[in-house]
Amino acid sequence: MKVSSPHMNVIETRSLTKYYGKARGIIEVSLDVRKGEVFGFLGPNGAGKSTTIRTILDYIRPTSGSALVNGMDPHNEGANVRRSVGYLPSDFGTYSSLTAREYLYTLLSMMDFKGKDRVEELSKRFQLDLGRRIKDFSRGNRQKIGLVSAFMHSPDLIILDEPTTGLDPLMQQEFYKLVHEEKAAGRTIFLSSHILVEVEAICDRVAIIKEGRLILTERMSVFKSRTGKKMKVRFPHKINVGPFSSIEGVSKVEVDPEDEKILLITISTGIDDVIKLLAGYTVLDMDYEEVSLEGLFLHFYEADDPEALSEKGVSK
Amino acid sequence: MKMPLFKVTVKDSRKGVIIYSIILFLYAILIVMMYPMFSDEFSDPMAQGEGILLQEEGIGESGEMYFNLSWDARVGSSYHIAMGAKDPMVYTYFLGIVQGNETVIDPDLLQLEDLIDNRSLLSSYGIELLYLGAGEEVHFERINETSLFWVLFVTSEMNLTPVEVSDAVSTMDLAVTSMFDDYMEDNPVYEGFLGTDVLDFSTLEGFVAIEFFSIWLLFLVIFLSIKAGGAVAKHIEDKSMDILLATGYSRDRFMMEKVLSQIVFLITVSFGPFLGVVIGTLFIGESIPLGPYAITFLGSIPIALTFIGIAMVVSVLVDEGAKVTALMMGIVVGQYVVMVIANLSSWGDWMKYLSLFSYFNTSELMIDNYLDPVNVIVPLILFVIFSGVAFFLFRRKEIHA
Repeated sequence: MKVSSPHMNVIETRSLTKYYGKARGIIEVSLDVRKGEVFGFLGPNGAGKSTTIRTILDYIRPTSGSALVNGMDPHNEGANVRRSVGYLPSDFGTYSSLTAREYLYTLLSMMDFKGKDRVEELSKRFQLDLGRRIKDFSRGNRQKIGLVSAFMHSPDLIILDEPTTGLDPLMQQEFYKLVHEEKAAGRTIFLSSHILVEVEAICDRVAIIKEGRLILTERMSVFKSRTGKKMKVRFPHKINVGPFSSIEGVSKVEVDPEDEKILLITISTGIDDVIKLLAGYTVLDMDYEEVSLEGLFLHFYEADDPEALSEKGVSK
Repeated sequence: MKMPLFKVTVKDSRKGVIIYSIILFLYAILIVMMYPMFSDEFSDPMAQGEGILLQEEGIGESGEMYFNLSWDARVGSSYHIAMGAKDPMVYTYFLGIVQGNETVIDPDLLQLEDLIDNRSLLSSYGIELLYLGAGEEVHFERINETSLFWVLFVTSEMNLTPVEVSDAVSTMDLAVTSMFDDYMEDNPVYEGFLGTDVLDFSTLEGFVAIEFFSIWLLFLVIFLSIKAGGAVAKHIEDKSMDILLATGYSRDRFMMEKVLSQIVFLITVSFGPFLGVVIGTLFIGESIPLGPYAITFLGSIPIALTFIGIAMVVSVLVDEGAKVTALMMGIVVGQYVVMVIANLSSWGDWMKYLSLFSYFNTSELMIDNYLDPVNVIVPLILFVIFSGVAFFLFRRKEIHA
């Protein structure tokens, strides 16, 4: 049952905390997901992304704090909350003896939802063979079933936990397209990911969770200007970092500790100036790549011990 | 009301359930068809003559054997004298005297009064006097390997010649038929399950009760425990619970439809063997005891439901299917063993109250066609309690990824 009052935030959590016995799940997570946005929930494995999602959908119960989804308290109205959203779990099983069609139609029936057109349409789009038994499906095809199940009843809020896992690049693109269309149709999408590029590509806002704590919530445009990409340039001999680090829009320049002839330049907006400066040098090789999530954390928290960042927390 | 989860659960399990039902169907036919082979060998241990019956009563602590000889009084007879001898020739000779075909060597023998007073004379002829009186039976301990018994029907004149002599019955007949006892001794589980109630192996009902129904409930309960044990645990283990609940199903509704599907499994798995005993009976050409069969299957349902309830609780508490199965097997076998110990031991009769299997009384159902309300109500109450606990626990359960 959806609450019709115009709630600006479709998801709200306040100091949501979950401990598994003594093990940390999430600590004091406060999030607002606004109606109509694509919200990215970014963090390494075990940071607490799934724990947050499972708590707001009442699969697990918070140790403290509260949550509201579509204006409903999951603890009291778990079934209604879940009925009002489309949810793709990060890892899920099905009735593998059924065909994809039988399974999805069963889910629709459980949702008490009549229309079946969207199942056919989405399956066509993701090249999912509905007539095949699920047990014969590959990992990627199974993921498609999950995606279809999250979108097929056209819910206004769609919560996706690591949605592109197992999808080939072509299908990933198709998925990004679908997300854009759903957003255009006014729907809200909350997706978790540990892949920075993915979140950057499709989200309006992003929140970063690390070791159970939310460390940042930002508009994507602001976020992007702070993350940047990493350029790795190899010269015939050692180069002075000075000219590069003085460029505006270059956030960091360092000599590769393994090879002093390589310069590592982290660029947020100053790509043009860097290339023009490089033109004056002899360049042997160059890589230009996205900053990894770990790299991003390092970028934001230079003072942090890098080993602590890669530590895995409780993944459940 | 639509029940899609119920439907898909039944659909997903239908193959296994139907195959199991068919296996039990064939097993039931096979067992019933063995009845004609066994019925003669296992007929009640007794030796019969015209109006006379010898039954073995049991064996004493030091190996002495007890018997019961009973007879029907004849018209005009006021005294009955029960006799025994080791040598069949003695009986033939005695019969000859009475019928006037033998020459009486010792005239004393013709005077019954003397005869009875003079036991040593009887002994010298190899005759043992067991009873004298107006009654119609005698219990006695066998001595001197006496193996042949008969009764004299005496008129008031106490003279031997107008006396009638019964057929002689022999313990030799008992030796053959006591295979029943040997069989029961070789298979203590039957007695363990059936208790001390006397079941007649020579009747179809008794045979089917011992050979089929004593084991049937175990087959049923094991299967249902595994099935119901997977009701929740399976979906947690294979991670299919997430999407099922994502449809907006409440946890209560989930449990409700799961319990209902277990009841369908119960009915399906019972139907095969029910049909099996009926068809088996048809094959051997006996008249079908439909009432006893039906009431016995009916009588197994309440306990099966209780085990479903227990399995649902375990299924909610334990997330791994293999562990649930192991635990349920432990519970089922444990309950069975408790029942067997209670029935076999002289000291543990009270233990039967600890076993659910004691709420299934095969002989009462099959022979008396009586379904004790206690055996229905107690297991049903337990089913409701266990199911309630399962619902409660599932509401509170955290479903981890």
